[in-house]
Amino acid sequence: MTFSISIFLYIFWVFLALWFVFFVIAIYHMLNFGAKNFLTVSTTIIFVGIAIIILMTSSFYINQIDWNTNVEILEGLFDNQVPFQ
Amino acid sequence: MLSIYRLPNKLPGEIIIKIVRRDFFILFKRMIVFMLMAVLPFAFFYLMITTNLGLLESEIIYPIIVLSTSAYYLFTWLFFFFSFIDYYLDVWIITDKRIIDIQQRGFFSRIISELKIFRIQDVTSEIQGAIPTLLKYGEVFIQTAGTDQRFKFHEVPDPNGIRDIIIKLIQKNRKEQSQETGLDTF
Repeated sequence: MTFSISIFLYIFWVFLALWFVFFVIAIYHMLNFGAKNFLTVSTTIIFVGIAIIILMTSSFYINQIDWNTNVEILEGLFDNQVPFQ
Repeated sequence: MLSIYRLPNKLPGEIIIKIVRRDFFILFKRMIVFMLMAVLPFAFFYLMITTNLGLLESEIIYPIIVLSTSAYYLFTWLFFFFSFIDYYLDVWIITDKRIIDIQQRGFFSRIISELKIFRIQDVTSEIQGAIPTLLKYGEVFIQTAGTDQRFKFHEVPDPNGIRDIIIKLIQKNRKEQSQETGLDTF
């Protein structure tokens, strides 16, 4: 059975979409309900900044992989060969 | 954004006496946990590299490692920020007329309670445990005339000091009230 490893990338993108939704929710909560002071703004900026760093680092390593590679698993399992002949 | 100078339902002439959050040690404990979580993949990679170098050259395993590590760190960082929000958005505001309790309970659930100072009958502070005793954080319980306990300051720094502040405010508030009504109630 052959499949492309890009399927893992699609699953990762789904996770990333969900993560982004919660990312926006977190920023919304901080800016909407946090006290109007330097600490609220600075912690939000730090949070966003480190999130961007993680995403950029991930992107660097993900782009190095050839996602068009096809992988074969269960090779030879369904060959029509009769054993001990 | 909640302006610290703009209280919910601000009363005329109301002054903020103290803003209280949970003790920093509570946040520090969570930071330690998340730092350990951040270091965990490195231990995993070290074990992997020392036992089987071929894993990093595999066409399936290496992409999965890259994606899962990325997802792990994104999730960990987001989870830590939610934990910080839970700590930061829980606040007690003591004014000269009220005590306001603002509690963020998960997402899209925010509870704001207020209690008039003159209704308070009893204030109790409590420090239990070795670390709270050393770091001087604990609970403050506020009781009104009703049977149900109304307010609890949870894991706050210097609970004895907060108790003293509230008691002084109660005394001042009742004195002002008795002067306004012209009656000596005590």
